[in-house]
Amino acid sequence: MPGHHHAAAQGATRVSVRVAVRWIAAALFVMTLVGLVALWPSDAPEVLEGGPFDVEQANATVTAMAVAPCFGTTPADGIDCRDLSIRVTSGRTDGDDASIQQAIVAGGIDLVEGDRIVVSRTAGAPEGLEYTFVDFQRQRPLMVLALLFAFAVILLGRLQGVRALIGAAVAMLVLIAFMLPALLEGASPMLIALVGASAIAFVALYVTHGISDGTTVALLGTLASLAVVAVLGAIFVAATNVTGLVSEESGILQITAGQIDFRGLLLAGVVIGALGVLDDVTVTQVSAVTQLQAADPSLPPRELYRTALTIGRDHIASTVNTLVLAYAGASLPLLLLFTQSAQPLSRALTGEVVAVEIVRTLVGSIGLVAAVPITTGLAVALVRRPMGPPTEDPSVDSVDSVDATVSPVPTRAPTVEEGDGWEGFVPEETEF
Amino acid sequence: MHAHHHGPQDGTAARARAAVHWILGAVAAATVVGAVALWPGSRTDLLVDTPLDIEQHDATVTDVEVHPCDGGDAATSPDCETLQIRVTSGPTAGTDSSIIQTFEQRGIHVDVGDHIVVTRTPGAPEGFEYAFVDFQRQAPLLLLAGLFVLAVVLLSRLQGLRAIAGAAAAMVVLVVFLLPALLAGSSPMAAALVAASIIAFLAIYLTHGVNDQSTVALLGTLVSLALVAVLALLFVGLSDFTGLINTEATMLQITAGQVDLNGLLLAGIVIGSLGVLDDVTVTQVSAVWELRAANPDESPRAIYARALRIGRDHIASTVNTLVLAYAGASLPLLVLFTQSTQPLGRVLTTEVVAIEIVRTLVGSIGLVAAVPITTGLAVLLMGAIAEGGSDAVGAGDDPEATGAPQGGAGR
Repeated sequence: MPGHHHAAAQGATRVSVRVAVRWIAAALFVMTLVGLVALWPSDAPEVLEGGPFDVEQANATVTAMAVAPCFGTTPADGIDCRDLSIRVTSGRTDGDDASIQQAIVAGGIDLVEGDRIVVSRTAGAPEGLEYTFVDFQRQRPLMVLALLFAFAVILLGRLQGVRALIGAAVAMLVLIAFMLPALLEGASPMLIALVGASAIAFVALYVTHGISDGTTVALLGTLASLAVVAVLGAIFVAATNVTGLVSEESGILQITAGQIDFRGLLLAGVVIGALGVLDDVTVTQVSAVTQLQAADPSLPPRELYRTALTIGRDHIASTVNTLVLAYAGASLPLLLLFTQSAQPLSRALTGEVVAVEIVRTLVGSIGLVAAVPITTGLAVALVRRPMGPPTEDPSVDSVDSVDATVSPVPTRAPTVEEGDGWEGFVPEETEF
Repeated sequence: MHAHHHGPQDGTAARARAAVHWILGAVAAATVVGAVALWPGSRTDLLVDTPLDIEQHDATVTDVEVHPCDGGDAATSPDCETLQIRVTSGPTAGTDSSIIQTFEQRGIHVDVGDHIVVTRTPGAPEGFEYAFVDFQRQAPLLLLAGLFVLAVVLLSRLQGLRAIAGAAAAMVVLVVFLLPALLAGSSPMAAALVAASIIAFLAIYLTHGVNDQSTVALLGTLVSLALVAVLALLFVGLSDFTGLINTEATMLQITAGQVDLNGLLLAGIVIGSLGVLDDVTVTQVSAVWELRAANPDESPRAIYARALRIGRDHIASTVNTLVLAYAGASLPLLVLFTQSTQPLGRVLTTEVVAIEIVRTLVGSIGLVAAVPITTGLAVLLMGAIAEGGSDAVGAGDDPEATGAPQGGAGR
């Protein structure tokens, strides 16, 4: 696919921009590796074996249910409980039949025959008290949902979708194998978050979008914006005096892992949470620039930047309410409580629970906004390559893959007719 | 918009647009009817004069003194601190008082000059009338919000301002309609859908103006939202959630027993995914329009393919967005699970975690579906306007193919 190159005059500067981008990315890569090695957790995380938090759990199926007087009461007392017969289906006591008694309370959990549940076991307790209901088993619906998601992603994103899923899996791996154990050891949460986020960004972006200068630009835009998030986060977490200790989990962790810096943990969460949204925006901007450039190779860089920024502007404008709604959706119970409360709204908003979320979303959003001009500018500087071997050029790579992905489109895309005329499609050099 | 319209708009184009407008009109009417039906009657019962109603005031710390608790001997007794405070709000504003508490309780370090929030128990002995609750955070939060508004307006100018107005409108809908309606015991799913629809109309038209682009984005958003609602119903049902996952939910069961906690979960999923959805749909429509403006002679199919490619990049990056957003917000929980002896499968399927998994996966599936739906609609409508007359164009939910490829054939 031959491009339409107008001038070789600016060739030298374009090439040097590209070289600089590659060098910066390489330097960041080395720093990330050094960070990974330096912060790598020395030994397996200290688990709570034998402690009060170490409870033996097993799967079980409810085989029968009857209503009977509770333990220690007579029928005359009129206090009824549910007597559940269960069969244990996993663990050391697999195959055992036992019984559980449950109080009948309004709004409680009503188990019926056939329910697949999770029980905890207290070895040696008297019959009827050896097992207690913990939770329902949810493996199946969650697996189905995850498969449905993977299916949708692959259907729309094809190969790139597969690679994106791999990228997300690697992100989880970095989180589980490196970040969580390192945090538990008490190392600086901010350092761990930055190194972990950088490692995730490198792997996720290159695996998902391929190794090209376009991806490298998205990566640099992501890391630069991440730095903005980290700095702003540190300033405002300190300024708002949040402790990071309000959740139940933090409360337990303070007992079981007191070495953790909880305010740092909060900051680490802000950085990690922002990463996913950031690489979304930066990749979209780079993609927009390459697509616009391919649609009309004659667009001058200024015009290209302006047009791509328009797409970015729409993106940012829609992002403003994204965060408000995402947070509101996840915190409906809390918001309802505040609606009932006699405290004024400002008091509710500045309490630690809510303030943390406000800092999290606002700091993330500011990083997001900053990512648009940074990434678009870099991408435009790179994409307007005047001359050079096409195989080495990122913009041309991307453009080619448009053609490559076009053929599967007709099977799903209503507006595209089945397989004709695509070979004839080359962006025209149009003046308008 | 700097569209380059070549062909005149004729009957076909007008019909396609009319169909879209009819569908939206029907949705708008349904939304209004729903809002009227579900509108919460009177002001919801505040928790006045209940144990949860605590008088809180602002105060400033004027002095901090660390000493052994109970005046006991320094070697054995733990450290306490006495805070001298001046109350700065409420009925006792201007009073000086003191607070005795364990030194650095819960890791909170109070310094002279700190602006704090205190509760007041009238009639308690000196030193115990007030208790430390929290720090005041108005100033830094306002500053941060100001920074955000500045950044948005700097990048997006007028559109940024309108986006902020749209977000404010969304908050008003939540506070004035959705929350009171939920407290009044309305069906959470119905209330959430009505609220989401109002927010989508307001936010998209306010932010992006009343035009064809916005209308297409809105339609794509509402269709995807319906998909999210159906999936959420299905999987929340299958997963046997109790809704009693956290302190807030448990408290609500006491203070507002009429609220359906599982329904609340569903409502949360719908509201939470709305923001991401309109983001994707607006981006897709914007991409289609910009691609067309960049090269008006390109065929609808070529524009669809290019816009879908932008959407694909978008979706590919979204896959880890949700993983990371969730992980970031739940780091303490995740660290705690790292310490646990339970296998990973068990941890992932406990209610606290499973709810977040369902929330993010259902939202993401809606997100993925939004891309082809919206791009198709946008190209269809844009194609109808530009190529009007040469092709039969289906409208709205009838994705019939547009005409023959015309890429580069225009001149």
